Amino acid sequence: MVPAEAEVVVIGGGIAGSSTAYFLAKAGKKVALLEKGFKAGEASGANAAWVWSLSRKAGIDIRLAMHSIQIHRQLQEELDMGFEYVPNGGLLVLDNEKQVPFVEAHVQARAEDGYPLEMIDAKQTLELEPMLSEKNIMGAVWSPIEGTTNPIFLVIALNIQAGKLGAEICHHTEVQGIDVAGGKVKGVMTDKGTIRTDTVVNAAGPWSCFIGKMVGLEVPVTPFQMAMLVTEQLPRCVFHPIMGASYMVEEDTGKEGGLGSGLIVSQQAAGNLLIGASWRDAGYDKTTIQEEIARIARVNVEAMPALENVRVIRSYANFFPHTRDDLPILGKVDGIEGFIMASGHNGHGIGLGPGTGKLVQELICRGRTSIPLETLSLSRFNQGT
Amino acid sequence: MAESDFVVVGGGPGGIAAAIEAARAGVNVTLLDENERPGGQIYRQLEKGFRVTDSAALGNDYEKGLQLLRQFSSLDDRIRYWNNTQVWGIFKDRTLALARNGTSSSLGFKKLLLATGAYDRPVPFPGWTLPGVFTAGGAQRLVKTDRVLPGERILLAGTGPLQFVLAQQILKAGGGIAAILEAGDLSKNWLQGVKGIWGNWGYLKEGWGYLRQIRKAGVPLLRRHIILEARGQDRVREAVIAAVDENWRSRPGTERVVTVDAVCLGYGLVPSVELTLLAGCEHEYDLGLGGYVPVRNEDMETTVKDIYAVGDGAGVAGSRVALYEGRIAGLSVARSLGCISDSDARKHSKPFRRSLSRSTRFRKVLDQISMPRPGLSELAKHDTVICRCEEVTFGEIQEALAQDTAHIKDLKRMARVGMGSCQGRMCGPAIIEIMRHRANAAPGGPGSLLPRPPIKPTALRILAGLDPDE
Repeated sequence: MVPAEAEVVVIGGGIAGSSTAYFLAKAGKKVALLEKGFKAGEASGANAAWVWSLSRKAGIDIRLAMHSIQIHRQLQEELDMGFEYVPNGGLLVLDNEKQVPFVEAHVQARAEDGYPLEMIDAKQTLELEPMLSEKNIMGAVWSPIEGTTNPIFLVIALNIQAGKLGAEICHHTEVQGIDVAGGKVKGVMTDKGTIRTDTVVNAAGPWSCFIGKMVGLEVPVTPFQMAMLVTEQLPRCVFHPIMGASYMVEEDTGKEGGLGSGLIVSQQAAGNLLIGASWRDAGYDKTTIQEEIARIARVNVEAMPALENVRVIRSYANFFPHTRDDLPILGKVDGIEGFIMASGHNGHGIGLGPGTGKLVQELICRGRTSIPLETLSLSRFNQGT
Repeated sequence: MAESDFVVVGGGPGGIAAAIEAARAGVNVTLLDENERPGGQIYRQLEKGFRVTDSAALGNDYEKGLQLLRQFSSLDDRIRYWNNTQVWGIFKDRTLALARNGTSSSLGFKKLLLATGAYDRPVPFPGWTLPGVFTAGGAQRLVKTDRVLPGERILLAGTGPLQFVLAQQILKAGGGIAAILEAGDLSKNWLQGVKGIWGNWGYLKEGWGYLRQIRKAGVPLLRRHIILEARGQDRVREAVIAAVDENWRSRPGTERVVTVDAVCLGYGLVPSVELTLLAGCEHEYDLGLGGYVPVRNEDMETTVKDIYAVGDGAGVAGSRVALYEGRIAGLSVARSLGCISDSDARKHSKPFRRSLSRSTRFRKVLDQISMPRPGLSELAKHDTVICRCEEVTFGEIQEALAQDTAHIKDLKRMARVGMGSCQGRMCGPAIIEIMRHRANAAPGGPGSLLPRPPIKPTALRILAGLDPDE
């Protein structure tokens, strides 16, 4: 069942939509959250489970990431249910000479922007992460604010809390159309009934392009697949989220139809290692291909040979909403009053989702946001084309 | 990448029979077996060094199995047999991923037959995780292969003829049995069923034969009884048993405590459907066949073209059904690859189809006795662990189910069930039954835990071994 009316209808029950619904409910808004599947059923439930800022670029990119980390900490205090957020630092490791200039430029740009990072040598790196192969590691960038989380628990915790604050959380509810009259949002049609509302938040991730179409908007968001492996539970052996610097240096080969891969590894609270990753353009398909699994395993065995006999218990893949400039689409849109975008998180949904929810709530309740969203508007894609 | 016209997964009776029929018709077959030697569970061959002096001790089927295995090995010019080979994935481009000789490889196929067998139905009740509590299959492996007895005062609890096979094997090996609990009402149904199974006297005789030996040994056989609880500190020391009604719910006041040092649970089998699920075959729930089973046509082809499934892995029905299904599927594959004519295929498969329909009728009679009843999924208490890997209790599952969780894949996210090393094999069947009997169960059923490769835990080193440019 859906309510007959709501002050705000949020479309998409992933991390962005669930955060938005929570902050709106907390601000006293009558809000309905519509999800076609179940809690964290798509990319929000199958990702690296990181709250990460280390590799984010200077400018709006790092500003959003830092803001969202603050919001994560706030949620850790506010939500009744825990979500295994462990913010005890992370590493970007260098394993070849070629990466040095790229990483140094990154560190310098971040320092100029006021978000400094720390370079450490190979010895310090291996002290922090003894599983890394001595042979390959040249050093790393260390950042004390990185963390891992349990994104499924986070979505559940947000939904539970929003429900307590009066939000209607509607699972297995599919949006079929959006009623717009005189340039204003009037309601949302679903397979469970129509909701009268004057404000809609499009937080439908990779499906936000279809929601956009319902109001005649072209939302340039496409699905992009990332695959990872899960190992059996192990005693603590990986202490921080670790990313290979190749992520920053070698451009996403997957985007040209091939298969991209790079090192990421972290250990969950339960003891499983989440290791990855590979990425490719696979449309709305979340099945893995054999080559992906082999590639991920190889990258990890090379980086951490001591783990070669650890058993993998499953692979998983999902597609995140990709945009051309790797930045999200946030804020109001021209020409349709009451239609707000909150999508295009480019594989950083878990990191950016809570911050997105807070910013959208500020936009709706106060008309202005603590981070200016102008550069993230949908209209940026129409300029100069 | 290596390729084969016809790939068979599983070296039990179904897989072997299919390979034999196809190879005889001229098809080149590759049979992948995770075991050392062909035979599967039912024709499990003894390790070298053991000599069978009394094959009756290993079950009558053993003798028949030897004949089949001899046929199989005589066709080695057409059948490539790969032992110790684990299939860990099946992918959309009609390839299998194999773990073999410490590395991974790909194998393409034109036709694929999955004969992956079944495993013991896990039944959670208080104390089921104690050392000394075995599955009937696990105990059978101990006795048959390792020649080790699970205990000295063993309680057998479960249902159906497999229990008698195990009891007879324990007795032959010199073991002591405290009692056999049969949850169903054996005798009455067996007699009622005789009319429908007149073509299966052989079967019936075998069953009665076992029963006679068990009676002669003075083992109490308690019909309509189940185990409610296993107790003990370091291992099982006693069992609480009770009489049950026709729904297998215990009758108040009939509980009593039995001293035991081992418990063997034989509540039937659950089909191993990981590969048919992974291949995207449509499944339906049939508890009489053990749970979710692939939908098949009369040639044993699944809803995914060119992928066949036979034997217990496509619906638990025993080794003879597996044999007939395997032969039918093998002939169908040979026909569709153009190795034999339509009319020859029809002619050759006719007797197998007739035998299959007789055996199916017999199985339906057994179902009436052996199919798990609702009471079996009500034994767990609030703090009984259901998912052993993630240590999720029945209480925690109930809590998650209360939040309108209607599908098992959603429950997995909510409560972490099935996310451990057993990949849902141990908890999945019990949870599906718990969910099915709930008042607000989903109309289409709870669905199954969808497997994702690798479908058996596989070392990173092995997964990394695959060379994509090969």
